[in-house]
Formats: sequence, structure tokens, C-alpha cells
Amino acid sequence: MQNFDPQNLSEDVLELLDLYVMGALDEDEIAQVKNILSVSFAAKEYVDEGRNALSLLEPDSASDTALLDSIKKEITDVSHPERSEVSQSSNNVKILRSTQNVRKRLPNVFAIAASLLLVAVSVALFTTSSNNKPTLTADGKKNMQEQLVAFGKSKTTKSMKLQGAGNDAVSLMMNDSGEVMVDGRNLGKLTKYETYQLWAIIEDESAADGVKIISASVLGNAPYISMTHIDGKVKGFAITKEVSGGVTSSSNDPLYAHMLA
Amino acid sequence: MMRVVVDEIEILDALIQKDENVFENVFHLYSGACLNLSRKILRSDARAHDVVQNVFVHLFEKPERFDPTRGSIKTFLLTQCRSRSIDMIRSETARAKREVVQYDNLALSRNDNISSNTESIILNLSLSDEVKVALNQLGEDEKIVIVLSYYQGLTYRETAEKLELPEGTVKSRIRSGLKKLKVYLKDLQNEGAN
Repeated sequence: MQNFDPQNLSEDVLELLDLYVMGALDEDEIAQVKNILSVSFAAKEYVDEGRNALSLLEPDSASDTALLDSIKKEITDVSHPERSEVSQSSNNVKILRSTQNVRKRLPNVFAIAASLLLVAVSVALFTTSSNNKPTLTADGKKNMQEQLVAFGKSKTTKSMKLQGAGNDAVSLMMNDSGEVMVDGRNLGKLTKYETYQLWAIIEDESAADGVKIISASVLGNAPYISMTHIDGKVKGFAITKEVSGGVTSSSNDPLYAHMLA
Repeated sequence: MMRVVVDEIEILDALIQKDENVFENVFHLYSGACLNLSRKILRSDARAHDVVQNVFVHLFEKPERFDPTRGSIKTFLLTQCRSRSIDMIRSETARAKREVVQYDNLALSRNDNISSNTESIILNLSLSDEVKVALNQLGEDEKIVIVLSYYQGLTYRETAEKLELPEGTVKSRIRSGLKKLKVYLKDLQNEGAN
């Protein structure tokens, strides 16, 4: 944790911050504090320090198993009303099992993705020399960008750009282990009722079309850099806009897409 | 087999990768504290459960919102629970219910003795012994404003109105109370670490 000097903050600001930490401000004043926090590192540190101290007021206690079940249900069912079955493991992201509907729409997504590939003007596909596996450091989110760079330097990492209809693109990197890192910072913020969703087109000999489409990750309405993992031979990626929580199969046209050679 | 989470960064990494074991581990470690805090603010088991459920679903779906450089995941979760609980009680309907449950029943009026009301409020909140000890570091006049703002979500203006005190007095009492609590809790943390 970096040092900070609260003396650099005026007494008026410190008063506002103390009252903010205690939850004693009204909405207008909270907005003022948020403005201060957005520009003042010292203010942010001061608030964090207060919150961290107050968190000690709440001792750890037994959890409620029924609540956990309810949360799991919401994660898999309620927030994903169209999802019929989702599988998750420690090394895998949500894998769509009900591929029947996806197969029906596959030509649509595939064709659009392929056509976007044809008009893509900047497809960056490169291999670099280092073999460093990306790891999170103590700087956390601030270093997600460094992590992205480290991931890009990995020997087995392929970098690509999912091309949009215009000149905009979304960077994505993938290594041979199936780890995928998406830089969603270029994606415009959506409403809270919407989300971006990343889809992977996977080789599947058992499928009539030889491929299947799986939901690789629900990116949220204001994506940052995120990681996911995909099993199988990836043939391409697409990003669509969906309802909040994501969907199991999409009928929306891809906003961004990239097909691997 | 549940993975033992030893590092906040590992937690973030695992949550980003949608590691359910780690998510469950985080839940088992911190949901109790979250529920306790929300219960105190909302005075309702059902609504506290709703808040904690929303917070954990949000954590699962948007783990990147947790920034380990700003504090522990426990602090993050408690801050979220507290903020959402306060939002809930500040809604019009909840406020009306709270007025009835909290103030009428507690009969907090200008003629009441502040000390006895503080005790009754604290008793009513079912605070843990640790919290009671922490609050005992404060003077009675600081304790009441801290409890009303931190655990009952009152703004300093509402607290001033309720206690019929000048807003400036309430602000300074909240600040001095917070300052004492921070010193006490930091010492407690250091003792625990040693």
C-alpha cells in the first residue's frame, strides 16, 4: 500500500470523507465525494483505510448453506433465463451444452463472422519468444494491463483482433492451453440491462456442421480486461450484445468477430 | 476438496476464471459477516438475505470490480452489503417501515436519556461482543451517532433531527467517534497479527 498524507486534504474534505465512510451523507454529498475520489489518490486511500478498519467490526461467522444454494441457482438459472444447462469447473468457463439451438443458427453467426473476416483490415496474429505464464501480482487490477502484455509475450500466445463493422476492434489473445484474455476496454458501455457476450466457435466432429458455438464468457456492460478458458480447437470468436446475465444461444448478429485461419 | 484461499490476488484470479470452489470458499468465509451487517441495518432476515445474495451474485459475475489494492475482499463485500442495505432502507417504503419499527418502538425523543437509548438500540441490534467492546471505546454521545449512521443508515442531518442536535455537533461526534474506532480497531488488528 502506498503512503499517503491526509494532511494534503483540507479539513472540509476530510470531514466529507469521514461522513462518507460512515454512510452519513445524502445523495448529493455522496456525488461530491465520488468526484473527489475520482481525482484524489489521497482521498481514496483515506476512505479505503476507514473502510478496512470498520470491516473489523464484523467478525466472521457461520455461513448459510441454503443461501449459497440460492445464489448458485440464481447464477445458473435466474440471471440466465434462457440457459438450459451450464457446466462450470475450476478450469473452464460456462460451456453451453444445449447446442441444438445453436446449431440451427450456426450458419448465420458463422457466415457473418466469416464475412467480417474477409473485410478485416487489421488482423494481428503473431507469436513471440517468451514463455512466461501470466500471473496476477500484488498490484491487482492495476496490473491487469501488464498481465495482458505478459500474456501476449507467451510463446504459445496468439493475438487477434475481433473486427467490428467500422474500424473498431477488440483485442483477444489465446494460448495453446486454451487460456483466453479479452481486452474489452474498447467496448462502449451498455445499460445495466445489457451485456457483451463472447462466443467461441469450436471444432466438433460430431456436429453436422463440424463446429459448435459455445458461450465463452459474459463480459458485462462495461468490460475491462478479463480471462477465461476454452476447451477444444477454436475456429473463431464473436462478440454479441445480449440481455444482462447473458444467454445460452444468441440470435443477434455479432458486433465483433474473428475467424482463425 | 475446497481450495484454501491464502491471498486476495489469488481470489481475484480464481474468480475471474469462474472458479466455483474459490467462490464457495469466499462465501463460507465472509457471507456470515455480510449477513450480520445487513441484518443490523435492515432489521429483516429476508431482506438481508436478498442483499447478500445480490452482492455475491454480483461478485461472481463481475469479480473484476474487486480491487485488491484497495483492501481485502471482506472489506469489499461488507462495503457492498452496507451500501445496498442503506439504499434499500432509504427507499420510500422501507423508510416508512423503519420509522415504525425503529423509532416508535424505541421511543427516542428529546426527553429520553441518550445513554439509556443508546443501550436499548445496541441491545436491539444484537451486536456481537467484539462490536460492543469496540463501541465502548467511545463516549455515549459519540456512540449514539455512530450507531445511528453506521448501523441504521441515517444521514448526519437525519441524526441531528432525531437527536435534536445541531448538524455540526453530529458531524464532529461522528468524526471523533470514527477516529477512536479506527485507532482501536487498528490496534486490535496489530495485536491479532502479532
